[in-house]
Amino acid sequence: MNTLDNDPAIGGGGFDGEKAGDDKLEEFSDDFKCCVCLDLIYKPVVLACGHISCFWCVFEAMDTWQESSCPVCRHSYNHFPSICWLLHSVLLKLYPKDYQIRETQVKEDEKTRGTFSPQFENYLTVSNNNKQGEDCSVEESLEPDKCTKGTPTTSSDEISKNVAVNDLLCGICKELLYRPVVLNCGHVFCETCIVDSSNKPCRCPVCQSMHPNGFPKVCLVLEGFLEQNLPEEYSARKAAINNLKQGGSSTGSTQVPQGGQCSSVSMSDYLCKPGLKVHFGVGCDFCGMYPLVGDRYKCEDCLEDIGFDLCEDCYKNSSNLSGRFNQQHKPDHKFKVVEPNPIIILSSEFPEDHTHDDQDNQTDRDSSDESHQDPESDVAAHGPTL
Amino acid sequence: MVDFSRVQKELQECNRDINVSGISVNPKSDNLTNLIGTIPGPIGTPYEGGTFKIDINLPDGYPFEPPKMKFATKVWHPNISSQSGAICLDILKDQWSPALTLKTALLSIQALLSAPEPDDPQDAVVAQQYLKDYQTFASTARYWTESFAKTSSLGVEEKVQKLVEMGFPEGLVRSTLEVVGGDENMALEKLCSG
Repeated sequence: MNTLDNDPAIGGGGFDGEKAGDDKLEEFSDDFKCCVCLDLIYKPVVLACGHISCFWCVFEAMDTWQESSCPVCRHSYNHFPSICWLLHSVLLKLYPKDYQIRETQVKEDEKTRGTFSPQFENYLTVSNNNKQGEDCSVEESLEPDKCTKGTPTTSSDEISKNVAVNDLLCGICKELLYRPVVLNCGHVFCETCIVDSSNKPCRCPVCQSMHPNGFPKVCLVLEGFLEQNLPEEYSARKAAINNLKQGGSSTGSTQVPQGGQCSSVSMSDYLCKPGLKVHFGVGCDFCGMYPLVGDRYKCEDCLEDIGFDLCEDCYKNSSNLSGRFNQQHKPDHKFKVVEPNPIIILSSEFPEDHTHDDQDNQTDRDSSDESHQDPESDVAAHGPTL
Repeated sequence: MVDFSRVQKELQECNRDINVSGISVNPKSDNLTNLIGTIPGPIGTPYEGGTFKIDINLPDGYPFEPPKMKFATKVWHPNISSQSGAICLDILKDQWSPALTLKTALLSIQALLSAPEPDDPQDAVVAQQYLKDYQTFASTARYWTESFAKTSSLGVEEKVQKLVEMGFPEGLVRSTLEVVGGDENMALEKLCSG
């Protein structure tokens, strides 16, 4: 944090509250304020309910022991979504200075933490290897000269000049996003496109990865941004899609499947079912399942503290995967199957501790659970009765 | 490690609309892990007219763990311990979400003052009274508000004079004193921090 204080231009981001707010170069929209850190969202992650938060904020807010829930709407989820690089590029263009301040802050934090978030550059190479990759507009946004066109005090007029339709294209129809949904892999599509594209709406057409637990909801912040900053283009898209609906197919396929389950068993079922392995505190580095359920494949060659793990499905289906935390994982690394740690835990519900006593209010995630030993609830942890 | 930059932002935001909400949060010490919140008693309840202080302690995991809050002002309420000030409120326990803030938590506590949940009590004696003899409950609660949550009007002028002598403008002194519920030390702290 000290590095920040040397530069008067970026003092606002530090701990020194006196300055905070005054030195901000850009007034970012409240829509892009992270609900957890209350700062500009950095490396945006979009949950299935459509709410956005920072990569690290989502990671920190996830529950080690059970399904996690969205900080805003409490919608439950059990996969840590990948960063939405489209939104990342948009934010970088909208608020180049603030976004870079955030980057500096987060990099410092990551050094302390010893664990790193994925880098945009790595994402490009991986996705190009895996598939035809993203459209080239994403790459353009990397170039800094394009980002800093605007004057430091970016007004809303200039925003619309900075971010063009090209930055906000659907991965399927290659047109401006209409009612954007963000899948677990971070790719963004029009709601209608993703529904029409296949009978299995939960698989990403770009990277082929599964989108778990039902159809994602429209990302309202992104939609609002589109409506506000590209009003003509957006209403043109709206009209075009409505025409298509009325004129064309009577199949009714644009109906959004409600709550369709992709995975056959939901996380809460897993957690309550005896005999299944639950790896608390471990996540799959590809699909993001957390805690990891089923066989855990741990990389023996990755040296990072956070390790590299895959769930059974991801281990069997993919060969060239990058980690969630920038691990230097290589395709020739070897895996071994690891059994869950025998931790005594509570089942999916914590005790209803209406504490009536402050001392009971133990909130430390790591230590509180060992201290209460509920005999009925060991089932989930001692899964391996196989 | 508490996310202090977030706490700073929260304090700024909360104290910006203090005139609308009447809710304030101020650091108790320099380290920002101990704070004092104040909420006005809701109108139309036995707590009306009182100013209630809440002791706030931020655990290391904040905002991923709920802040520890308890009443520093004695209060007669089914969900608040009349002895320790402990509060029975789900969002301060398992229903906490990192998207909540100190201000929203204090707002929830204010709402709890308006809408007691006697079936899920913190203080069994108060809850029993609330269910069986509401009139007595209400008058006790009102009496406690008068006794503990109101600053005596006698001392106000002296406090104003004292602060004015320190060099603060009288109008500002009066409004600040009002905001912090007449607590002279908190008013001074606020005046000094600008």
